[in-house]
Amino acid sequence: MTMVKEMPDEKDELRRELEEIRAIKESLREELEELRRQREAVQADRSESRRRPPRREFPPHEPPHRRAPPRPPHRHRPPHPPEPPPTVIDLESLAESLEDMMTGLGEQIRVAMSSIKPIDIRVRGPPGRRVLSKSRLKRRKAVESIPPERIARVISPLGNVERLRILDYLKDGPKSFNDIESYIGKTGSSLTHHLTPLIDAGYIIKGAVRGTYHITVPGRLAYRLSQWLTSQVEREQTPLEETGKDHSIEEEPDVTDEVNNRGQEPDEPVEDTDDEFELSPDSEEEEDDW
Amino acid sequence: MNLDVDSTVMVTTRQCQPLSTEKAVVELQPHSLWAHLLHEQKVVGIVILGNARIAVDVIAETDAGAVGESITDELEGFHIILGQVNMDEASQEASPDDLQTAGIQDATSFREKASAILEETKFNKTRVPSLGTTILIGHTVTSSGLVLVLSNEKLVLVYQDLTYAVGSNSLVQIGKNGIRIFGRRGGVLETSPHHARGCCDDEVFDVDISMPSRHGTDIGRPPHLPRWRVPRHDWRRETHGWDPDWIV
Repeated sequence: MTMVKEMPDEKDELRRELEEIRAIKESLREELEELRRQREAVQADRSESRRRPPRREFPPHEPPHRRAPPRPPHRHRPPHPPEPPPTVIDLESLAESLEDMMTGLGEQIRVAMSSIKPIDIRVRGPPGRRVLSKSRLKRRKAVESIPPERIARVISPLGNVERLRILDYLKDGPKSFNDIESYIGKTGSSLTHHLTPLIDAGYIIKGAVRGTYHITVPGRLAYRLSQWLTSQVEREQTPLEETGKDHSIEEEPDVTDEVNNRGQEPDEPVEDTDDEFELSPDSEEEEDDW
Repeated sequence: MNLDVDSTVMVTTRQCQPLSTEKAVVELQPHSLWAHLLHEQKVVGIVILGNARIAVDVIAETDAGAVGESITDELEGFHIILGQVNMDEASQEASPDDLQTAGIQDATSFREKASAILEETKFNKTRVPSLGTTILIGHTVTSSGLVLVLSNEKLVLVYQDLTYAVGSNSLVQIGKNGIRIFGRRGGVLETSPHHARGCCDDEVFDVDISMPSRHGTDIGRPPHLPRWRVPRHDWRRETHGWDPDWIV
């Protein structure tokens, strides 16, 4: 008996489910029709915008085999959780605490710096990456292989203060023998004793017409390089305390521009460059000019 | 320009300088014979027979220093100076003894030899030098020929197979091996028939020139002329020999 009573209940239940499915099916069909109409409207707008001939319109009802499958029953999303209350950050108190902390750090650094004594240690930065081309390497090897005899032939005419003063004086322009006499303070053969090595080395020329002395391009270069050599040697020999500053970042006189930019005035400010053996990546071009 | 030698032959009584500028000087020894050169009955220069010392400063002062050299030599035989020359104060009319001392029989003989030198030099297409310009043509002990053109601060010198052109602060040197140009800022350019090298400012270059020599930089040796005649040939071809404005 119980089985007989349960069967009509199941039938009713199935019937209700079928009714629901039909209702869902109807609603899906309506939605599908609505989507189709929207698509047709969009296509019409596109065709008008492109000024193309209107496309063939599909009939509103498609064959049954082209109909979309029934959509699964709609699932309701869970309700959104309630929004948390807005967080409030007290910026003023945070800024005050940071300020206090920085003040304390500054005091600590000041105390630490006052306790440090100067030490005679030169700190240089990390060495630059030396990427030299073959020609540059070849040139450097050629320079480093110059024997002392050749160096002496170039340097020895400069090894006298009077000769260096003569070169310095002639930088302003050609001078006569009398002018050099009055400037140097040497007369006659003693002055000739200094002029002859400079002429033999090609550092000065004597004009035969008026007897004037001209400093040549090699002479000017040799004097400038002597100045640079002096500055380099003195820099290495001077203790750090006497100069009162870090020599590793000291500005160095540049002679490479004198070598190449011969048109510039010697007193013009020139760009800083490192010397040959303290290369930095930025100074490789200047080093190449050696 | 047809030049005639004046019939009056003069002799120097002391050492004098027929040519004296900032760049060049010629010191003529005593007992040298000379005569005026006439063009359309006007004095345009002198022809000299005698020994003289010549010094030329082929030096240019560039911004990087002086370039060039100083040349000294001895002039011998006949030499010609075109331009304003004043030697009357240090000279007198030559006597037969003066002529014979110099190896000349008489004034006519001097005139004939001087005219032959002028004919050899060929001034046919040369104009009278302008004011301030002096031209010296002669022979030296060490060089077969010497040509010097002076104009104010500029000069051109042909000496020992080399040609120099000196401006106020630049120098050009032309030789059988190529051309060297020294610019006013110290830049140097050297060219040979198949090679070029030099530096200017911070640029240094050294390149090979793959160019046929007849189209290349072998300016000193055109194929149709001997080497030593080239400057002289160019000088003769131009109407007045040289324009000082071409030097920068």
